[in-house]
Amino acid sequence: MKSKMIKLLLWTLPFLFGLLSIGIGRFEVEFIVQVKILLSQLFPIEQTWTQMEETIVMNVRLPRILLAMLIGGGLAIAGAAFQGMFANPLVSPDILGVSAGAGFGASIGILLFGNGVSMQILALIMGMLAIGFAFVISGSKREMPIFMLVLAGVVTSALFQALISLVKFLADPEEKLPSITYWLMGSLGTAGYKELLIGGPLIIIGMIILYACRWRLNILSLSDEEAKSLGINVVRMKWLVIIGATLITSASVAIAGIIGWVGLIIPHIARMIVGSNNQYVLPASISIGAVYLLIIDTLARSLTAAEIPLSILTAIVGAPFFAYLLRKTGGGWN
Amino acid sequence: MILQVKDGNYFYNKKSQSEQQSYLYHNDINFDLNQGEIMAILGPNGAGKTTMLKCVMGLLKWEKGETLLQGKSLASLSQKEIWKTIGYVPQASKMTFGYSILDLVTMGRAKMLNAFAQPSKEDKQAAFEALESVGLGHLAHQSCNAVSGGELQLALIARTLVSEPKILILDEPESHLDIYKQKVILQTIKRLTKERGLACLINTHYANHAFYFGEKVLMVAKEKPVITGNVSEIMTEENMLKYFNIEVKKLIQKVDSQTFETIVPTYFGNER
Repeated sequence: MKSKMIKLLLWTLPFLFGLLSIGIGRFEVEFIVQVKILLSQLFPIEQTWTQMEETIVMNVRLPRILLAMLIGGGLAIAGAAFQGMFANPLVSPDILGVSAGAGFGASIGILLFGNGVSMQILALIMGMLAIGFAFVISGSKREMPIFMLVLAGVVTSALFQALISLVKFLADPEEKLPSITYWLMGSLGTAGYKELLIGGPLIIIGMIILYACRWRLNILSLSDEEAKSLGINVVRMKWLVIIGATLITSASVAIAGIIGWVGLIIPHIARMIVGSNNQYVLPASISIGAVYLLIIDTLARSLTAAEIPLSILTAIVGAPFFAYLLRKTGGGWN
Repeated sequence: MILQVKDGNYFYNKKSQSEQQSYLYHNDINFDLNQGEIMAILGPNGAGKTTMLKCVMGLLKWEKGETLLQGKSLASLSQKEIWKTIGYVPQASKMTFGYSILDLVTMGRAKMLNAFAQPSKEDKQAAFEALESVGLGHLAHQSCNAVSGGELQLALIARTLVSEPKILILDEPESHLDIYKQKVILQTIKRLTKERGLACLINTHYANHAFYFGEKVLMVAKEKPVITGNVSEIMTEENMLKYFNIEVKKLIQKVDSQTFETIVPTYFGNER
């Protein structure tokens, strides 16, 4: 009974919050009007609202809300999958250096082309390159031992962080530097249908890959030999998980900058609700992550006249909440 | 003959100061195991017992020689075929994530499912039955980090049973357990071996447990030839001195209708 209720909530909450947050913002749209506008896209409904309202709902808020949910859910499932694979609850999706790599690509993109599609594609490519780089230095194509991957990730992150700093150092401090700095803190301020079209499919493909692996992640979290003896192709599974998580993370960074905390804490919250079995942790993470980033982004665009960067809010809201949960449950992973 | 090792040999890496040397460490290992048979592997710490077990299963490669499963070389079999025949029970250790005991046992079904399939109701049912067969049905929904070491070890045995293996390979299943839990583990292993006609290869630190199983023994120590044979042949005072560097007395005693065969270190003896 209880588990059915939880399942129902996990399914419905993202839709509910998505619907509610469309009306919220500096330009308020009444809930009824907003529902009518949405429905009018599918059914012929007489227009009783202004063109302004329709533009805001359909072209400004809807793509942004969809992206917030996709990225939130994506980062959360990537974090959950990595925590399972690395058998470590302190791992986040950027452990292998994807975020730093994609961040470097984006910084160069802003420096050379400004905010736009070219920058996003550059970020995507650099994110993937960073993973390739991590592989090369882990120097183990066949076995992929976890500790080598982690160390390679540390090196990759450090290197690309330094390169980001170099780009900032070179950037024009009047115009480009603030733009890069602001962008690296994460924002969905520029999100529109174009971004949804670029990042959406990648994030969804990544999610599908990880979702398909969800039960076997339980086995992957055991030692490699144990997993092998349970009939798992360990190396192939690790590849799949890394590819899935990399697609999601680099697409997220390309669209919205570096958003911290979501991939780290949401899987914990999911585990506190549904237990440790990754078969349930992964889907629950999608739902909770989507709702979480949606709330954060709604706060970011409506709290003050200026947009607040997402990473600031995810940490300010997330850290105390996480601390509270940890104190209360003593860590949900036991 | 379900499991056979032919001229098995593995290298032992010894790092000398000047260069990394590796040399052939044991002489050729030869043994075979039939259904319903148990072989205990005895040897001091650092003798390479675990390494040998891993070579037998193909988790590590023999430097020379091969393992045959039902007469077929491991190299000619797919990973799936190998692990459907062999069930490997590692030493129980605390896990990062507290999966429920039932979830832990269900993992054993993975080798029977397609690459991305999820466990079905039948798989869960099979896992539950395996748990019952080792007497852990009541713990199905406990976290694997909340149960005792002995219970976790039993659950790991149950995890291999769900895929109906023909060979069971256990790495020191009774280590770190108190004497009562050792009894439960040993009795369970012996019962399952007989009931299901398994061939069972078991690493142990306890010489007397070989007497309990009462069948084949393989003895190994650093820079000594590997010897195999029946318990009575291998478990002698001379071999214990040679392989374990300890003087023992072999005692055979009849109490009521039971015969007890044990070895006792001589330093245990008190003069009266």
